[in-house]
Amino acid sequence: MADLITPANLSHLHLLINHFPTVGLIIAFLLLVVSIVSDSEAMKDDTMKPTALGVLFGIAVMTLPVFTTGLAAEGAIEKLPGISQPAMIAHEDSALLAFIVLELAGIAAWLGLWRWRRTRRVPPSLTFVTFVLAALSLGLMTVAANIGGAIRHPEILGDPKTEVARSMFSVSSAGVAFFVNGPGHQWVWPALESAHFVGMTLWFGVLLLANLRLMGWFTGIPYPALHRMLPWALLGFGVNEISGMMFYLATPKGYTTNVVFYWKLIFLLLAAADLLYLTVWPAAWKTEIGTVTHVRERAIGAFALVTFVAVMYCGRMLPFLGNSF
Amino acid sequence: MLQLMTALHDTAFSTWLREAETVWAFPTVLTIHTFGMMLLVGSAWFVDLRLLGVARTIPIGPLRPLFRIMWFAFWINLATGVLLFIADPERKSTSLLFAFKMLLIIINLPLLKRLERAIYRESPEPVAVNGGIRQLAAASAMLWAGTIFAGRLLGYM
Repeated sequence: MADLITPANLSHLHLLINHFPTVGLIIAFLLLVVSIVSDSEAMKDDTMKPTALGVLFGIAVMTLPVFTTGLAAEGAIEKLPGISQPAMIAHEDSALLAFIVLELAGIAAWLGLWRWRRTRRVPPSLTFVTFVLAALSLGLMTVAANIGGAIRHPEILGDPKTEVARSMFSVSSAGVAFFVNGPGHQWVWPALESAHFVGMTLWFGVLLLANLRLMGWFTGIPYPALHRMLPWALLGFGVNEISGMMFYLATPKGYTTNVVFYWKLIFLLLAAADLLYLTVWPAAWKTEIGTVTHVRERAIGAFALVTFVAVMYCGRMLPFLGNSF
Repeated sequence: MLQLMTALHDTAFSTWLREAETVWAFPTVLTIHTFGMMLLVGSAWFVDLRLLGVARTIPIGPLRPLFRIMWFAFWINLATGVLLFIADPERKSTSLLFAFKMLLIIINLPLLKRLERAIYRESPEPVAVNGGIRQLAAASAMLWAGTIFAGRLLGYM
């Protein structure tokens, strides 16, 4: 496995999975538009929106490894001939803004799914917010992807003035790194670490109960009641995504060259899949007081808990395993 | 006292915990401590949130086994915490932050006991959540947050 984590492979991986936030996002956006039109026909339950929102949430989660392998690719090719350094920095910064807006769209999509599970309807206000954020992130992602293409092919951008105008749609990742690691900011990293532990604990507490119920314990609690607690798990996820990305932007090389970090990412994607499962899965939702769950739900619940502990293990062990820090 | 801590620091066990070139020494103890924290505070916050009015449809009676999970996790963390202290006795015993963390836990443990007793009394049916129980839950949840912050910051002292 360690042999797979070479800079060249990671560049390759970045080029493979960068279709999630580009092509995938276009598909998710079109699905959302179609679902808004088709579900508006009658005052009946929403049937297509949950699919569209689920795909959008999935794209938002998958964009995490796209962003992180991007910085690994940067380290691999920055010294090669024919590489446009300004295009690379502009790509990273515009991708960061597009990533932030897409994550917000993912949160809105998740909230829509959560409400849909309870009432069979996605509130129009949430649909509207999700639509606007998805459209905005699609535009920003297009800019970022276009600049990314210019890293190897500077002729794509042509007029340098356009490049400057485009790079205004960006957040400075160097600015984030300075905030976390700059002189006089020694308190920032420890404070973010504390927040990261709080977020992890909040997320774990909620998913512990939800999964234990599906595994056949706490049978006196109907699952739909536990479902109400799920937004607190999402809050923990959000806190940790923000604090985690700040660590990552501050010292990318400490992560991109460490195989344990990639294991953590894989387990994290599985934990996010579990959150989606807990939010919408029909068999989970139908678990009432005393309901004995199917062996499939028990297996998924046990797997999810092990997965989350694995995320924690990889994170806590980052400084000790592999070659980090 | 400090001489005692220096002696502890120089024992073979303390040195092994601190300096052994294996993940099975300090890193593993620290990771188990983190797991205990996640289990203890995650369960505690879940109960506290419910008592503070989140997800009111969750019946309180069946949540009682969570207290057993909390105490189980507490004993894990007391044991791993002692080991972490043994690995670094001189600095921990003179650290205000460490003393603060211990103080927060010493205040919180009786609160946890009182909370369990207040909810479940002697009867199998839990009592209604009143203002006093909500105050206990809020105080306990905040003390846990403070404990996590203090513990995490100890790594940077």
